[in-house]
Amino acid sequence: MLERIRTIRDYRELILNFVVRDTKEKYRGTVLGYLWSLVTPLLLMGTFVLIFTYVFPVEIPRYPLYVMVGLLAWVFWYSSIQDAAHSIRIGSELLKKVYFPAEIYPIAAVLTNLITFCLSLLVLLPFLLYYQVPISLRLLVLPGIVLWQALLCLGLSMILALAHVYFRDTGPMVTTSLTLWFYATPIFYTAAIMPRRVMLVYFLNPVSVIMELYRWAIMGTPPPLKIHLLACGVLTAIFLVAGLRCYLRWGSHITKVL
Amino acid sequence: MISVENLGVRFWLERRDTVLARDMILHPFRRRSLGREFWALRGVSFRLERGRVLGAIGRNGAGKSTLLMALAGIYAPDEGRVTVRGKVTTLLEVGAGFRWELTGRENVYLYAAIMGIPRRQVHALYDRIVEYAGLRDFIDAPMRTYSTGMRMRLGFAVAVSVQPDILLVDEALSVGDQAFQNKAAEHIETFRRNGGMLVYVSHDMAKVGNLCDDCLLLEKGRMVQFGKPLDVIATYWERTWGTTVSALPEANTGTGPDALPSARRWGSGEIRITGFTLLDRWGRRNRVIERGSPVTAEIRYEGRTGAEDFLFQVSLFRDKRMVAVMTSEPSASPREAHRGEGRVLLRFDTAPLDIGEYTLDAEIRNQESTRMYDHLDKFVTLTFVQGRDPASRCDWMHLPCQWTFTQGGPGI
Repeated sequence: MLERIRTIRDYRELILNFVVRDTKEKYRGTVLGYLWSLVTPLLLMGTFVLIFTYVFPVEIPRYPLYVMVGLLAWVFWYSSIQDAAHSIRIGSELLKKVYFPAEIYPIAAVLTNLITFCLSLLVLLPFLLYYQVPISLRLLVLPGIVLWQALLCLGLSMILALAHVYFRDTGPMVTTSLTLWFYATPIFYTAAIMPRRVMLVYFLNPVSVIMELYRWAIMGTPPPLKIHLLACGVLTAIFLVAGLRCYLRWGSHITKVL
Repeated sequence: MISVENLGVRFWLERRDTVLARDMILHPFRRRSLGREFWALRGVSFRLERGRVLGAIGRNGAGKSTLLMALAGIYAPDEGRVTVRGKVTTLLEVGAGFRWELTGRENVYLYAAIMGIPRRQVHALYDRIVEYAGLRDFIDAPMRTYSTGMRMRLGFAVAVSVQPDILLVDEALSVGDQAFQNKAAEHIETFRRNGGMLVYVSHDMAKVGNLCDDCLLLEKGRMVQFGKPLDVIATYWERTWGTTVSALPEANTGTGPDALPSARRWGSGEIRITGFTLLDRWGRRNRVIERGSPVTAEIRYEGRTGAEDFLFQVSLFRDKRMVAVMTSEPSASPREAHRGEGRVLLRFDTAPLDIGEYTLDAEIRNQESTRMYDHLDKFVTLTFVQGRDPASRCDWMHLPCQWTFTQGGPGI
């Protein structure tokens, strides 16, 4: 398996090429360009703030910032999974003509969205200033959290991309699951409202853990419990290893099915 | 080095792409079949050493392209193993992966990355690539503005910019104008001369016979024969045209005592050659001829079931290469082969040919080469020797020529 990782590393220039090309393509020709990727989360946040301040008032301090952090992290998660799941099928023509490891496609998809995500974090600055959030050492951990989320995305993406080749149902299933998943993650509400028993299961959702980590690093809210962090870490590792092994076994067979 | 052991590649036909949720709910325990299984290749084994050229031949659908893909690593084997040592470049489809909205320059880098060429190397080779493709003025324009030919030239230029250890070429994909074809052929030739290993899929038996050191014949995914090109090609022709003619009685005596016993023969047999005798300039039966003197081949044939529109062809081979061919004019051949016997005399001059040993092919076919009635493969040897005639003492040819003096000259 290490050899496979090495092969992927050999093709890193191709990955880079795909990422650059996809990023350029996303915003080539649109007027607002890159800013479009921020409009949706901002609007969504605005909607939630309106609803949960005036319609169903909720007692979450610095609510707009709270929601915004969650939304940005969610968009990264959502877009990576969606893009990656379809990436192999979309790129199938090339895969059938030249040899290169199929993992390249989901990897490039995740990286492209990672770049977008990192840039989008800048939008938090006005919020931080408004709420006078103190700059603490916790912020140094932020890149680590981003990396962790990226790895989590990567692991699951790889598996889904491969599954989609063999089971076309995977596409719609992913979309539906993500829609539900949105509500299972503390984006516009806080996990504190959950009864204790539910909490245990609730934080099996790795995205919840990651999200709380972001909030801890940026806003200073309480961090997730160690047990939850462990669960998230284990899940990340499982996804990654399982993903790689699947590609080892089936990676060069998918060309016959595509 | 390429080593293939019992290679099998399987596809599933009529594949049900979607495992429908409805299906899984209604019939959770029904065996779900993936479709009909189709082995594009099965039980293929061979070994190719460094520097050798392999020709893969066979009918359409025999599995040649699949073999190439398996060697390239695009298809993983379902059975057996493929071991390839060395860097592989495939000329299967030139310019795969080109994105039209990007410029030529960007596509060069993209395509190079797809082929696994490190970026540093691309930088170094960039100018040469553009020059070779002849696209210096267009390289910064988006590829959507290129013509098909330009795209192919660029793709090809990138593909050949690095010297791989192994080259996989599928001739079926050699499209493009004559200039491009020539360039491609030239590159392949250079690569071969530099000792590279080449696997060449082709329908052009002449090229395969001349280029290749080893030859592989595939039929319906199975390996029929692996060996010397001329041998394998002969098998291919036998299987294509049928060996009705060899199965006929007196098949081998038909060519008389001059014939080589191991000669191969194929054809559908409506007309067949019953005798072939070589005569020298004095009409004596002889297989050793003075260079420069004419040779006559007396061909006796017999029409068994009758055939229209047939002609004769006799070819001379030196070592493996065809050096001369003589075809009878369709109009000169009798329009119809009546049932019964016939005789034709072929007289040819041996002046341009060098001394040495030659083997002959003789065949009866129709004009379009869509039907082969009888083909005798390298069945008799003809030897040219130095003659007593001073004109034949030269090692080189005296070409028929005409000298016209426009100024001065003898006798003017």
